[in-house]
Amino acid sequence: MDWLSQTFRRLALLFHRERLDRELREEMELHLELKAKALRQPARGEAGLDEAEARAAAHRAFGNPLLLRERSREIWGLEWLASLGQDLRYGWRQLRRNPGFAAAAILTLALAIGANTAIFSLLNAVMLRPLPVPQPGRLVFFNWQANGFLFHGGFSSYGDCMFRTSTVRPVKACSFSYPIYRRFRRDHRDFSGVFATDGMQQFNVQTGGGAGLAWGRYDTGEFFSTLGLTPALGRFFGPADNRPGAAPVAVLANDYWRSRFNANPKIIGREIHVDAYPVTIIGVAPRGFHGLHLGFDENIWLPLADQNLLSHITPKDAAFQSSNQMFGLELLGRLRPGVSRAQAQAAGSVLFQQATTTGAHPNFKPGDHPQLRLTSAAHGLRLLARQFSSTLYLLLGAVGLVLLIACANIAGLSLARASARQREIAMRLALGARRRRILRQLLTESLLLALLGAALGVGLAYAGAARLANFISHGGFFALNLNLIPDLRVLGFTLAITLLAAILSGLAPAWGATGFAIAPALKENPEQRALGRGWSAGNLLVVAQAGLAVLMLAGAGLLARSLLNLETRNIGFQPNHLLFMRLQFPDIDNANASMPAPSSKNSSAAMPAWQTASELRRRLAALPGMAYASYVSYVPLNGSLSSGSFYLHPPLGKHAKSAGDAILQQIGPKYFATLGIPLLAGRRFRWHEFAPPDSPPAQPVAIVNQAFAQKYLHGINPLGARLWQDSKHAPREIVGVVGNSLVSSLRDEMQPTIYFPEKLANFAFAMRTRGSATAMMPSIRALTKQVAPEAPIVYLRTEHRIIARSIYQERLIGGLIGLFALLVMALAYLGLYGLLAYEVARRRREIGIRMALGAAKPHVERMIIGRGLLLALAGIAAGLGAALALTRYITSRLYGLKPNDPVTLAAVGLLFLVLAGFACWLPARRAAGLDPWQSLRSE
Amino acid sequence: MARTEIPPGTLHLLILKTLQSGPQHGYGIAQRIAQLSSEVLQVEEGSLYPALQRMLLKGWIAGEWRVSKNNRRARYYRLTTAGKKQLSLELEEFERTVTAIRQVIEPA
Repeated sequence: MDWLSQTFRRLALLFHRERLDRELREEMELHLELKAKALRQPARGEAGLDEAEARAAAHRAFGNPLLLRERSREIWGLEWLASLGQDLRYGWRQLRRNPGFAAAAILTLALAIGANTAIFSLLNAVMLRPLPVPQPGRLVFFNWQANGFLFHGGFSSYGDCMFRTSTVRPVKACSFSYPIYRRFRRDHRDFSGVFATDGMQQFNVQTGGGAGLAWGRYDTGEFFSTLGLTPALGRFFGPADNRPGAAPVAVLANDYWRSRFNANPKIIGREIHVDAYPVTIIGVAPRGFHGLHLGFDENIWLPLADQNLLSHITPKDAAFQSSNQMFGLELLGRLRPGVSRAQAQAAGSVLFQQATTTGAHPNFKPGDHPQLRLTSAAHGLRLLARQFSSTLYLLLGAVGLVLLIACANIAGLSLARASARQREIAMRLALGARRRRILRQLLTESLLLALLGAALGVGLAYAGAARLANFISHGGFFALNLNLIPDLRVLGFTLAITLLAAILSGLAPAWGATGFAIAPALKENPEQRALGRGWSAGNLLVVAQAGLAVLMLAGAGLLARSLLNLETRNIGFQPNHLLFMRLQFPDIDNANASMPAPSSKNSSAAMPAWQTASELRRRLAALPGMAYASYVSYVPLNGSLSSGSFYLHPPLGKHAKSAGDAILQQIGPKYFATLGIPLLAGRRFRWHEFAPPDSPPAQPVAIVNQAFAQKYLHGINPLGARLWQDSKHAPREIVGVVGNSLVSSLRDEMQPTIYFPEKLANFAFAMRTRGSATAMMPSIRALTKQVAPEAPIVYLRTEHRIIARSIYQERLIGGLIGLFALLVMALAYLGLYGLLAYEVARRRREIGIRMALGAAKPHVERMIIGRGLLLALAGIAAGLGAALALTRYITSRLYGLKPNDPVTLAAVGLLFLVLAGFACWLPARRAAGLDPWQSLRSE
Repeated sequence: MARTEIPPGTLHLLILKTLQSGPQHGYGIAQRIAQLSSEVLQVEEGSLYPALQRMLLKGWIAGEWRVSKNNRRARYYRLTTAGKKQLSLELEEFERTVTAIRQVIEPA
């Protein structure tokens, strides 16, 4: 209350600033007058003073009225305001006087602040923005942990939490079974709602207008009510829509409704086909809600019960899916008002324990102590955040380094300027300006610089962040929709780093400029005076810049070399002229059956999907300009693979039966020719061996790669050996050995791989063109639309593009950090150059004397260069030291080299030394070119 | 007679005490402090004014421009209710301090 009324009085006075001053002046004048009058009168035997004496005495007793008025104003906090305006005007004049310095400094800060803001905007968009639902802070995400292994018959996870089932205890995950969901829905007291959701997936959505793809998920009936949303149109599905036998329904995302259905208000009640199954649209979600992930758009939501219909799950499988043996659902809840997360967690643990340790087939052994862990879901599910956070933090660290270097650079330049301004400052100190006041003046100048830089930088940041988001979105596996519009968090962050930059770049010069004795500074010529303290601060700043730049360069070098190692490694096939295309057949879960599902009347193809796929392959291969066409279950270097165990029976009977693990690839005809994988022994698959799914071949065969032969057959001739996956399948005879090739990722080792000949529809088509692969794309698209109109193209990409996408985070980091490294090298160069140039100018007289005394030009040059190189070496040593300590944090991002790779570090040091040499050379030349007479006379 | 600088922190107390007997202008306050302390306590006269401003800000006193006896415009300060409360608080505090000091230097 007290401060409130004080603030009010302060504000009231703000509008009467002049009056305050006038009144104080009048009051003090009266005081002095009355005092002087009193002194003139004789008192206690002393004679009265004459008029002039009395006035002087009154003044002496009173003190400095000017200063006292200033102090009075300060009490009201007005002096601060008034002097801020003054400082800003003065600072502006100073900058105008040195437009070159000002422009360089503002640009440097704009780049640094802009880069920081851009990265932070991305971080904000992926991790920090709240879900656009009412009170997102009340939403919680369910995790569990236990001291023992989970017993289950099936498990799916979706990357939203750390999933740990290895030997490390406690075991942690965030997948739950349907009975656990049911238990929470029935028995919870701490939540106003709990819902379960399946993983995000892509659906084939067919309307009268054709087939298209949509991202979406199956959720239980409490999905929308728990999130607290109200529909923009129609209604949401509820628990009644999630019962077995309920009519299948769907809710559309607002953006999807606008783009796919032209925002048609009559959409409610319309039937569409989702994965070839007829589904009724019942509602449209509110604008701004894009699903459970920040930065990723979901288009359609369906009740979980629909999954059995759409995916043709048999009653037996459905019973398993909803048993306590299948852990494949994620659970979210909204805390009841007044209930804390800890309370809900404690009560929930009891429910979880009951659900998982009792019954016929408990999931945990007694004593495993299963527990519920609730984490905040205010920012939605964490898949993207988990995927990008370490990259974004690394980049934030890098731009933070750039900001530090920029500040050190500007501080160094200002320091040189400040010492040139020492006479002016000394004058002001002598005239009675307080040191704090001058310090503030100088800091205001750097604040002005920082603010101007920030204004420019925010513009750069917005453009930069949009480009980065675009790169991430199109380069990676997901098409992201990141909200980069600056919010309070971004603005606050920018303001904070701007102030930090102002203080860092202004404090050292300000301190250096005011922390000297006044008298000598006034007497001496600044050029002549050795600046004891300013000098060492300047040196330190240059060393710091060099050190940070070397650290940055070392990181950039390591990452660049890793990227190069990845890009040039042997992948085992020919990526040139190679294309891959994936289609989404409407009835994919049923596509492997020979007959179309009865419900998919809408499917335009009369033949089963696998036949369409075979037909498409044949016609693709016949396209003019096409060398080969095939298909494969897992596109090489697209980030995924399937592996499984098998039993092996060698022909010689040396090892009776042995089990192993291998990558399993199902392929179509001409696959090895299409990819350019060499056949090393045996033969390729024959036409008749590619069997349709429902009629297995009489004599099943397989081809293995070299790594398989080496690992499992130990030099025994693999041809003729037999392998089988389980007792249900007939053993396959190995008929050929092919060269090793990578399947999932560039970082993988060459792994044992088994190839099976198959005819399936959920394959990706592989194509090798004779000429340009990109040029063939239009005719491939046209043919696909003609042969399989019901199957939209998920993607059609060159293998080079697929590889680039698989390492886009590496490319993003490598590119950005490379860019930053160039920037900081330029700054460090300018910093060193500026310091030496300044020193040469300052020591002109000394150099003149030396030369007059007979020092040769090379000697002078050596003196200056030696000085510069000494600083550079100190910086290199510091930077490499820091690199040795810090680069181990990026070990996981390196490939083919160690974090302290001596070649890279040595090259970085050498490179910087050469750069420093150039920076020294010009000032040295100028020093050597000085005319001794002229430089002595100029004093 | 040697004059003693007033102990730090007591200036507010002295001003409040002076104003207790009625409104007074700046010079008057300085005079009265000197008079009442038999010229022992010497207020650095100028520092009175920042102090008065601070007390205005705190709301302990209020200022009012009036015409003085000899027809000069002067700002008269008077105690507010908050000022009276503050005075008794500071007096209490002062008494406690003085008593404590006395106990130390004049052991009973």
